[in-house]
Amino acid sequence: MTSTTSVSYTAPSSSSPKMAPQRRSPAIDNLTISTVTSNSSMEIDLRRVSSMPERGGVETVMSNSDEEDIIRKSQSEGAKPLLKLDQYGFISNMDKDGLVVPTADSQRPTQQGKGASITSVEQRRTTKWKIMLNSWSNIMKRRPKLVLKRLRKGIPHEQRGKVWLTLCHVKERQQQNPGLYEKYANSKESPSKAFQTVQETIEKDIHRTFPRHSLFYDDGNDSEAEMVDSPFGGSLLDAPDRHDDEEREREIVEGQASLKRVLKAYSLHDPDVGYCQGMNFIAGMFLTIVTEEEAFWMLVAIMSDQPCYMRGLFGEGMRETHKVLYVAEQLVHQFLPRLAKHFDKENIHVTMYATQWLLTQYTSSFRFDLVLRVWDCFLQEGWKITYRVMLAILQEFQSQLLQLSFEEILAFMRDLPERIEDGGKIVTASIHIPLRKKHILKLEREWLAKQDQH
Amino acid sequence: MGSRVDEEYDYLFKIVLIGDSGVGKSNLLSRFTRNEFNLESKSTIGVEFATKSIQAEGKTIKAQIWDTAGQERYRAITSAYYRGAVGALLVYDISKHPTFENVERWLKELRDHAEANIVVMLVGNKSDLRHLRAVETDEAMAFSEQHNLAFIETSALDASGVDTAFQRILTEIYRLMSRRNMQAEEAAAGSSLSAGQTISLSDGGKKKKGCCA
Repeated sequence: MTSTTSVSYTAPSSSSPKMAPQRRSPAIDNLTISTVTSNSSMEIDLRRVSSMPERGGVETVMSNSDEEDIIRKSQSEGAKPLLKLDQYGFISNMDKDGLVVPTADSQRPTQQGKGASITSVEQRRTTKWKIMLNSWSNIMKRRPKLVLKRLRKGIPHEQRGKVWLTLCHVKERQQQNPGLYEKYANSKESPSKAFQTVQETIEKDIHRTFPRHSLFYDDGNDSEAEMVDSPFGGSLLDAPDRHDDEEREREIVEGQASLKRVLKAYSLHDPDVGYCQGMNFIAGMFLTIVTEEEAFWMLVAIMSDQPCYMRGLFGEGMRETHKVLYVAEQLVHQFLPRLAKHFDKENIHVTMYATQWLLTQYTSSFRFDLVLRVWDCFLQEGWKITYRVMLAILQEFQSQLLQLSFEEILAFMRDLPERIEDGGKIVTASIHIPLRKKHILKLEREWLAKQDQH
Repeated sequence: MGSRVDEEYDYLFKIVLIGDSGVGKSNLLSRFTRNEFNLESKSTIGVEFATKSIQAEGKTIKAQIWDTAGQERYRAITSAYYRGAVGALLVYDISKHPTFENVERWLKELRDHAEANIVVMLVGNKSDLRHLRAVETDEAMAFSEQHNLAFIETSALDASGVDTAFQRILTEIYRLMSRRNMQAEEAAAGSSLSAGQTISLSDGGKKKKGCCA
């Protein structure tokens, strides 16, 4: 059966507040989805969406059309080509030059639906997760292994935001620090040179973070940006009162503005780390799942708390990045000795291909079907999943890599993310790699000992 | 070396692309090697790599180019890639004066981590942004003369100057290397360079490719 789904919706008449932590219940009052099955067309009124639980929203709708595409159009339809979005909000009808390619409904390629069985699996999982979330502290105490097992299977996308926030204790953090995020996000620039340098560095990366995601996509037209709304990470509406604040050539879209505020807030919260390139992808990915303030607190959690503890990687000197790369190199040798031998012969070092994989936890270049599954686990079990997925990726392509020379390997690695057809499959395969935590700890100690020698 | 020779070339030169974040290093590389420009390219994390062969003075020269992350703290990771490089394109953005002011710091970085005889070319990128120009050509030219650097302005967007920049630095490295090699031969009447090797200007010897610490 082939079916395609198109969604159209219009922005609400009211403008969004300056900072909209609750913007998740999207302005979908006029949302309709039309499902085209074979030649018959069916329109589904989705006004019910606005009454769905906060983080359910449109994702709920999409879980029913797993493999199907969503077409987004703004109110001013006709002038702009439709944006065709995948289930994570990335624009799929964009060519390699970043131009949106018009796709008339009739010309739209039809996709194979996965069928009802997948949906029912998804529904069963969703129910299980709802039950777990309702008795979270209890289940974490009594059945932590069950939780981990289910995390490793992947959180249903509809539940993902809630689970992530729970794993990162975001609610507690917000309650303990009322108003702190607003304070950081709204703080006026101080004259300090260091602060300015940090903000300039952030500024340079804002346009370079997921430009193909509907939340961050800049169509280069100011007025349009005010009329478009996105179900992914909230409103793209421009707050009119911010127009004067920005000394920019053109207004940036709301998703970009959110990202900028989150990164700025973090740099104020943790001035020793400030901002380091790579954090933009992580924060940007969060914004596609949770609200702006929640993204900030998640960033705080993964940077400064176990099991993720990423701030050592991003701080001045990037000391722990060296540690992680050392561990990764050793693991490739231990788990994939043939490949490691070939890489050694060709002078391929792990830093040449895996730095961005590990430093950004795959967010910077991999598709979200892999990325989100990694993060489902990473938030609970930390770095083990990161290394496992690296090994699983290399294992997947080992036979090809063994045939390639130095330059060919690096060219292959550059395009590798696009070569992965099913990111979820890679993550599932990675779980079976017999890597233990003590193994990682041993290598970390080895690295530390080497540092002391120098 | 362990690498197959997939294409014929006489010399293999390792080049690094350095300079502040956002000046357009990755787009210079993609314009030169693939004739592509990406308006929405993502920030480079760590290092990226590409190659291209050119003809210079009747020889085929293959450039192995390493593109590096621009943020200062990344130097802890990227500086390992300076080793064995015979050329560096030090890029700034003509529309952002601070990126030009930082050129001195990048030169120091090269002095600390790269070969002493590395050929450096100062590249003022984004020359298409005429209305936003913040660094005058004269200013940059004076600076490059003072520091004995080659200099060119480029636009990865409209492609102007890009091929010329790489062509010039590779040719210059080749000439320098030939001259050095000749002198070495005269002095020692000894070993000549074999083709297909990465050349180090400091010792005229053979380098392993892709080396890093």
